[in-house]
Amino acid sequence: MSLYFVTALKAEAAALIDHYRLKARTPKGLFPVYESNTEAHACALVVSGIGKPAAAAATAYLHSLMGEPRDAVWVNVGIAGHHTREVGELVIANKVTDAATQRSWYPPQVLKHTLSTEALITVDRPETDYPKPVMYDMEAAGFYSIASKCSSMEFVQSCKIISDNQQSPADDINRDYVKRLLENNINILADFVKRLEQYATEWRRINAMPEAYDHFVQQWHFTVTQQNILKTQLRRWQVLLPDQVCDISAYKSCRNASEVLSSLGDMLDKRPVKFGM
Amino acid sequence: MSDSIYIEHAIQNHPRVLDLTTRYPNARRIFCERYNEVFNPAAQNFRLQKNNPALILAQKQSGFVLPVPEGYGVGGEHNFYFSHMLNCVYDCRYCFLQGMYRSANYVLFVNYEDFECEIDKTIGAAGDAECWFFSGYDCDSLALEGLSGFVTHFLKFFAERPRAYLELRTKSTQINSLRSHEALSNVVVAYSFTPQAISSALEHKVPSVEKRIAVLQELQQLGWPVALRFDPLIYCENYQFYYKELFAQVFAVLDSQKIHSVSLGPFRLPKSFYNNISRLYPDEALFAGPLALNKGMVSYPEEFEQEMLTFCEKEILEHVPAEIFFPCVAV
Repeated sequence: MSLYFVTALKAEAAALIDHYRLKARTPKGLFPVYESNTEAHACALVVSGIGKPAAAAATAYLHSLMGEPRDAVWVNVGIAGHHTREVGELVIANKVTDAATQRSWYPPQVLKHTLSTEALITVDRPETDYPKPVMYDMEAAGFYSIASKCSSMEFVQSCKIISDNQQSPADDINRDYVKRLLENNINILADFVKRLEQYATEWRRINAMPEAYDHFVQQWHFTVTQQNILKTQLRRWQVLLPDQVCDISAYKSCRNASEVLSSLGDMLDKRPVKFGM
Repeated sequence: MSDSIYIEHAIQNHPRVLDLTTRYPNARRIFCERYNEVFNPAAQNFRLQKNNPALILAQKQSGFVLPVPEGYGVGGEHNFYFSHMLNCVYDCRYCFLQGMYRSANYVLFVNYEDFECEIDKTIGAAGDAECWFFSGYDCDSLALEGLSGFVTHFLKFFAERPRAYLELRTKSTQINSLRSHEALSNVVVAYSFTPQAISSALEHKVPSVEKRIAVLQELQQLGWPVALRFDPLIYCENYQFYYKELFAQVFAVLDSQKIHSVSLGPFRLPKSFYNNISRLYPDEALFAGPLALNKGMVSYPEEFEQEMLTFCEKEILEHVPAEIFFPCVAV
């Protein structure tokens, strides 16, 4: 499973680095990256710096650095201001709007959860008047402009912790304060992220390449079209013959990929469809 | 009920929107300019969204009444469909909506009066000819009645237009809106069926065949014209046994003399829809069976399809006269 975080500040990243036991990637590249890589779970975090262009660039950088993973979970974590919401509250963005262009993204809320959600406007300069009853930040739209191309939108979310409001102005924000806000919410945030990852894991399991695929493509030359047909046929095999391993030796008499596909297709076409009856 | 409601800014004070948001005060409200900002973006996963679909309240702008696809009618001269909703509360694996839309969210168009206006224009343009309006093409006509009030609203409209026929196509057993209205001879309630064993495997969240038949019987006794839609026909081992059993089950309970129509349709999907759906459900037995591409449509191989159609037609005609039987097979 792949999980990627984008934060603007090192202070926003600290609690995540600690919780996910991330280590600084060396040598340093364009942006500071922290990662933890096991065979089962890849997790990485990039610190973008402040502002929309930086967030977009850092997201693209991390995506490229990690090998352009598919169906990964991408989470933008950071602080946001709000007219009335209480400082310290974790809020999931249900709409992200770029104030400059008025372009919006709507992160699908597929998880059933009890966390607050709210619209989020990304501004180019700090917003201290909070003119609308929404959250304000300076990065989420930049993050979405790229992350929405990296994965399915259900897996791309922005989680904000309210750092300032009319009673607690943004002028009071400092590094330790931001670190504390994140530390206080890390367990709730990690739980939300874990549930997103469960969805992503299930989706990956459903779409996993059938085991026999590699054996076939090593044995015969399949064109790209034939590779797609092979994947389809092997998936049919998994459904129609769930208890039977697809043994490549049964096709050893086939002279080429075309004969393999014919043989597989003919055999599968004859299998009864039972719908669990 | 959905825990998120998206609302187009322009209709936030529409009476139906106010009613719905009052009735579901705990649902989070998210405003958008146009529903397609939420519904149409490419990188969405229909299967994942089906776990928790949101409701999108929108205003239909154009294309209120459209001609039906070839082969869709039940004998009428002029056939149209209109969709007050996009997407369905049920989760039928063969449904083309999964392949047509990127999002599983429900879109409810609240401007019913604009639909009515276009339906009136269509009736007027047809002169003295009868017009049929099919409502269950992009959604189930009844399943979200508690939320939409669609049937309650349109029964009043069609009651005053006896030359126009409305088909409500459904799998829902929520029929309170029909129970509380006098039966109308120009409103046909059509139920879709597959045999229970197939329904259990493919029609998720759909009421059982037994419950649907009981509801059909009640509607028939209340005087509503009822219809049967065996569409799509699904192939499986021993399909003859399952379909024969289904026909026996249905016709044992219904008064065959009072059935408005029976239609039969093969399983067919445009290639692009099929590709989308089979990518979403690679683990689905329906798509692991024998399928073939013919003239841009994915269906069972011709010999299978013809065999099933012939078998089911013969069985059905043992119960109902040929005049009310409509095999919906587009050429």
